[in-house]
Amino acid sequence: MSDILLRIENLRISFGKDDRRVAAVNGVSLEVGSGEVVGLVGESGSGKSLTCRSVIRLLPPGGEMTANRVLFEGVDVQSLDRDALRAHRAHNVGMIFQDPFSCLDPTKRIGEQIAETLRVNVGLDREAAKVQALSLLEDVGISSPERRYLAYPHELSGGMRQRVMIAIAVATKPKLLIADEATTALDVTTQAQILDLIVRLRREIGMSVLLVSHDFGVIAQVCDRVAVMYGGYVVEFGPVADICNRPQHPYTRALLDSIPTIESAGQRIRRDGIPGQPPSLGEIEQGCPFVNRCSYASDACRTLELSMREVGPGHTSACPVTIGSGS
Amino acid sequence: MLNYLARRVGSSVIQLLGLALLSFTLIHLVPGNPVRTMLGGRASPQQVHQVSEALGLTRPLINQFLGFLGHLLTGNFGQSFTFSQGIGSLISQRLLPSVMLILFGTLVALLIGVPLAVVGALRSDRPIDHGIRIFTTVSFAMPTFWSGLVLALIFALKLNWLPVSGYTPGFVGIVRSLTLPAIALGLSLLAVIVRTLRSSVRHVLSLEYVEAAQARGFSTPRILFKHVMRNAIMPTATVLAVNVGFLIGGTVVLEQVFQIPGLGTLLFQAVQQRDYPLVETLAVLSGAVVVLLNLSTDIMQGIVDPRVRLGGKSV
Amino acid sequence: MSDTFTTTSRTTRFRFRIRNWELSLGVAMLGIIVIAGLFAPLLAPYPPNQIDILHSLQAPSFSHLMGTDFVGRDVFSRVLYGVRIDVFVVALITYAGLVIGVIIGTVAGYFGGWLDAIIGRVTDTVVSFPFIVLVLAVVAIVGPGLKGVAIGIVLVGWALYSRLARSEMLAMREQPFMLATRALGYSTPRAIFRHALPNLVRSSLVYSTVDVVVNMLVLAGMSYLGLGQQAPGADLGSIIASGQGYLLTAWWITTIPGTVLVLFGIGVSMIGDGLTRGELSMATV
Repeated sequence: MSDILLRIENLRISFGKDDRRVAAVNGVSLEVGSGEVVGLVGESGSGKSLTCRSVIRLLPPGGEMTANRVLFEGVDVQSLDRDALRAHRAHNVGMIFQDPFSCLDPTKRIGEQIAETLRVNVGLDREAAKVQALSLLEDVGISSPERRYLAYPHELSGGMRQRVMIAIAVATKPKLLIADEATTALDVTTQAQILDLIVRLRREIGMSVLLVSHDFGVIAQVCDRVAVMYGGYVVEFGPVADICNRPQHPYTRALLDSIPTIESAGQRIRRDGIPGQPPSLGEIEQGCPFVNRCSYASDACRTLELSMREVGPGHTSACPVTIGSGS
Repeated sequence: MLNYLARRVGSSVIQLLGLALLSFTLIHLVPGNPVRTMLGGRASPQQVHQVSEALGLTRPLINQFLGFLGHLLTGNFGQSFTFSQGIGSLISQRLLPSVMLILFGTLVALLIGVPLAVVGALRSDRPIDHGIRIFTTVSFAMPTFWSGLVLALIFALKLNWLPVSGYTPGFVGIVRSLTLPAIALGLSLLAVIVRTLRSSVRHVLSLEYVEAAQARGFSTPRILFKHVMRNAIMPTATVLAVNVGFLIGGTVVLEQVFQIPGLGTLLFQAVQQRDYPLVETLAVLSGAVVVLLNLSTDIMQGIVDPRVRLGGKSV
Repeated sequence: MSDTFTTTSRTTRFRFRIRNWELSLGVAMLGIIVIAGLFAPLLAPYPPNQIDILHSLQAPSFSHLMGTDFVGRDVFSRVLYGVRIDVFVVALITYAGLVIGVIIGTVAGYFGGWLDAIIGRVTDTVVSFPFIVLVLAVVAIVGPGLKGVAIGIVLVGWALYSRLARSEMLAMREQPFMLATRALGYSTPRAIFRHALPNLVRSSLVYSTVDVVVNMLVLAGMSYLGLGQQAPGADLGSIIASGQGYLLTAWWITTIPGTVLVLFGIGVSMIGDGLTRGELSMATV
């Protein structure tokens, strides 16, 4: 964790025009070391997808981002011109998405789609691209690659499609792999296999991984550090083990409490998630976004200026309340 | 795939039979005696009877229909009333100018329409998109014969760039004599192409795999032409095939404006001279062109989009 | 994607305003043309067929707003009367086709089975004929004139409405309120005509804005070919045809009536666009 590969400082993303702009991401700061796996966890709409998309500046139409810095290997992504941005997307960052089916061109054979990346981004000729694509298919654990090379996306299973997406994403040996809810749509067994694959490729290629999930279980399995997001803010950031053992932010705590565990399964402890609804876009004007669902909330929370404070080595939290360790 | 093909071919055959039956019925069952109308009011009943007999119109209807079907299937089409020629040879003489005009007109419509549709989709709901929509609304509202006349007025009569009318064979001759009618024809087709293609490009652009392709660092032209167009073009091809009937209609009128000796002119003459066998045959053949083109686009779709084949198999 | 975005209400309203603007402009354009046609006898400065050889081929001026034709007839008066007859005929044939098609399609969709199969085949066959070719065939039998053209257009025109109404009926047949009419023991015709039809007619009415334009173009085309309105009666297509020989010397005879046709088509299309888009944005709210 000596070199920092990616450092995001005070990222804001908003939608809409002029006076009706609503912020979806509010001053997020984050870093990913080289070779490190960092998790982004939070509910739907917490801004985690947008945050990771800002790394390649691929926002939905109407989205606008500002940040003090989005440094990738010391270069600010915000300053890249069109060609440089394309090169950045092509070589530095690979991305996989939640639904591998809709991310593949339905009318092209999957082998050709992998080969296309190799031809366009690596500059291989047709023959070399095919050979390389076949070996990539094998790398991502697809048996009889020669046959699968000719398959269309709809002929493959969900897990298989995600493997194809991963093959495309790592084809250029990127320095960072962004996995945006990449295992969410898969069943538990396949999910575990895909996570294993990601971890293995990360070791082989020596890349970093930014893993986005709403599932703390997934994050805890593979990440080194994790950022907990809520309502467009990072509310807690630190080493996974530390956060799991002593969550400092009430939201993190509630999130961890809502995971069913083997120990809890037999007991009569309520595991029914966090009461209330997350805030909708533009709802929070000031104060802590979690205030309405927080059992520690006081009036001061409605007006406070959110800032991260050190609560342990490399562990920061946005909540001024100190909670006792463990429960 | 075979199953899908068989069903599609089967329904087209039924449609072709329907076309023959419908045009036959139209001519033979509609009140009014075609021979009387053909010969004019002063013809005596004997004359009418003689001519009817000579044309085989006194045979039982079912025999006449079978004879008509036989003609269609063997491709000899029988004799024309008024031209002292077989219908088959008449059609083959007049085929080329009409086919050329339709192809040329479609080409013009695509050359103008595809860029407009893509720009409209990329900049949807911006001023340029509204401008394109207004332009297509205007082009849709223009009668082909009128835009043909206006084009002739400007480019042939005023500027003298192209001939006012007529048809000269040979590549240069065809290009010169068909440019103006083809533009008029293309303008009438433009709205359909732009609107269909714009909405399908818009739809495809909103799909996630386009975003995924952007994330892979592909250039916009590459994404547009290699990934978007391929998937957006099929609905437009289908609509084009459906609109071939519309194009044929436009050709009939435009051939009169520009005095082109094509099938449209032949049909027009046949209608004026009440040459029923000729009208009947031309009507069925033009319908058959539409049916067969629709069939081939459906098959094409099966080839381009693997999901259609799968759907055909499972249903 | 885990984050979803909705268009802000501001842009939705902005869009809706554009559509409404389009709708009102369309209504205004169509309204002026229809009223001009309706009141042609009052508005026309000259009788439409009054020949005045001495003043033939005169350019537009205050006494002849759209000039005169080759026998000195006032083009403006002829255009007014032409609009009158064309708009009347087009409205008649389009909505006759709509009524026939919607009834046939509704019946086919409601009963299904062999009746639906036969109607479906007939519809497919009619639709695959090139429109103008079939109209020409009918004119060949009935003889030239507006009557033949009108019969021909209705004979083809019902088919698309039938297709539209059938598919809507199929969807509607399974909806709770139709099942309820059956449960209440209403008779079949009552179920169809009192309850389903009003719902089906909407989409056909929207489609008719396209059909009106197409029919107007076909009608004008047939008159241009000399197979529609017969001389000396004025209609837009025949006025345009009468100017063809004088394109260079008297451009107004051809271009002005054509422009009126184009404006009519634009007006109707704008109404159609306004209606469909208004519907869409209402549906998304």
